[in-house]
Amino acid sequence: MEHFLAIFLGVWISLFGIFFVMALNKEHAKYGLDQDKASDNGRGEGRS
Amino acid sequence: MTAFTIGVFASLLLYFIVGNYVGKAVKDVNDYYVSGRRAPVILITGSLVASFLGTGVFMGDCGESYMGFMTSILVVSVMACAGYPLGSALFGRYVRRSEALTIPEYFSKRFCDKKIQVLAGLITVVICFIYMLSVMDGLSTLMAQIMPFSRHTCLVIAWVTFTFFTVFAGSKGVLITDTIMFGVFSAAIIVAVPEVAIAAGGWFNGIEALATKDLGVQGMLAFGGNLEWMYDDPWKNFAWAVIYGVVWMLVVSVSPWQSSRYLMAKDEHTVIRSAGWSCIAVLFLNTIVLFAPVLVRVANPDIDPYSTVMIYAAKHLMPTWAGVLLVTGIVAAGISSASTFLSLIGFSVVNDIMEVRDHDKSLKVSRIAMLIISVLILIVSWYKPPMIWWMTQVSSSIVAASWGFVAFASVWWKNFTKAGAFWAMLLGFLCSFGIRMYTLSTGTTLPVPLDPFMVGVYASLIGGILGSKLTSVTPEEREQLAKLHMIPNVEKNAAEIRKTKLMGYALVGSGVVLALFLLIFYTIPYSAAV
Repeated sequence: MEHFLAIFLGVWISLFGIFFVMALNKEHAKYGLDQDKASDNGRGEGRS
Repeated sequence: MTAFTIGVFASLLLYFIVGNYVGKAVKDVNDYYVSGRRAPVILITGSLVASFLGTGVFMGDCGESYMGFMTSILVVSVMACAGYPLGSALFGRYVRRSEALTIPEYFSKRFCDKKIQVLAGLITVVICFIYMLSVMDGLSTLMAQIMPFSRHTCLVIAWVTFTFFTVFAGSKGVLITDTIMFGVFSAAIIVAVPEVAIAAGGWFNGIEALATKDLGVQGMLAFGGNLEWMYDDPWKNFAWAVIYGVVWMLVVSVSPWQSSRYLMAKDEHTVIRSAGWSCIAVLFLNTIVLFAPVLVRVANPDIDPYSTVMIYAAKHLMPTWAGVLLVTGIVAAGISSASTFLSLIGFSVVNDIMEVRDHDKSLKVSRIAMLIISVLILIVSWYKPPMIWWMTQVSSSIVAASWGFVAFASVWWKNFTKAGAFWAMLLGFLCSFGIRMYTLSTGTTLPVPLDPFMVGVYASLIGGILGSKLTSVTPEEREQLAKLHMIPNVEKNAAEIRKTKLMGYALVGSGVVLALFLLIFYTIPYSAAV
């Protein structure tokens, strides 16, 4: 059971890391802020 | 004067000097409340971690681990770390976007309602007050063990230090001193844990001794821990740990002492990156520090009171310089938490409850209010018996029950009305606080589904849903929510977006590293020895 504990905790943190990336990707796609589209001077194509 | 006394006094003097220097740069309420909203990643990270890791961890959690509850505490602390990515992505960045001075003011702006600001302000004051008492207990108990003064004298010494720089320098001072203290206690943990392992005969020998020898407590490192400590069933202990893991995750996500740090960030990328770094830092520091008290049991199974286990380690199980660093680090953790809580209470009293709107007056009133509150805290701490661990659990479960649902729903539920938010917050607070007081005063342990936090959550959900179904969203509220979801132009920078996303990948990697660390240094050698 101790091994289960170690794996459970590792997976828990990794899942939230994945969620973190997915949440950012979703928002950036929604507002047209994908990396290729957004400009480097802070004036992206998304509506503001 | 011992080396411990000199070390602690030197560190307090440093915070005093830094606070005085920073305080002179405070020009207006914006500087005082939110540090001018110019704080970089390092300062926000330092303050997030320093506010979270206090004497509750070094004395409360470490004491519980020493008594055989390490696995449950480990589950709680690791699960809590997930609150950083969750809170920053779904709440913290929106709070920053609202440009409020305090979290209760954010709720007021979001729902166009002053009533909810007063309620949230009152809850902030109650929770931070209870939490501060636990920090004061920890600080005075610790200092009295290592300095030639009484607990009450130590209480005053600690109180003078953090009250001075918090009242004088506000958030600007708190951010900088927090970051210095974060450095001090991180160094202390990194140095102290290997020293304790050496004293226990080496890391792996220590794990083997814990698995095979009778050290006064059964199941020190077993899945369910010591079955004579809380519940007598391993799965009940695990269920308790998972529930409190969720409680602490919500605390890290939305509590005023964590989410208010985001108000000071220079932009939203800073919010998200600091949350990511804080997650990794707390994960690393909190995990390894919990193994220290367990290994101390191999060296001495008879420490009393058990909450002083780390002080015993500093005095008896390591070279003097390392012990001084450890004690200074624990004091730093306590002072940094105390300064954050004191500033939050002061800001809430002036900005959210008294609603002082005159900016010229506000700075002066804030300082006076904070000083009065600080004196009040000193008086209560003076007469109250120490009870560190339970007080941190009390305040955490109250904040999670009353604010958890409201905070996320305020950003993500478009039909959430001001009445729903008000009742969700009020019922969550009253139910969790009332039941907690009942269990503490009668010594009752309720079944896990009726834990004060759980009942608070049920009440908060019922209040929020019913309140929102019975009323309608006003056009002003709808407009505020729409504004909250508009990304400011300054955030739309491709290079910055790329850098921020890297933080997410780093978190995925840190989960893998954590699992490997636990398997290699804990579960595999433990299973082999049992």
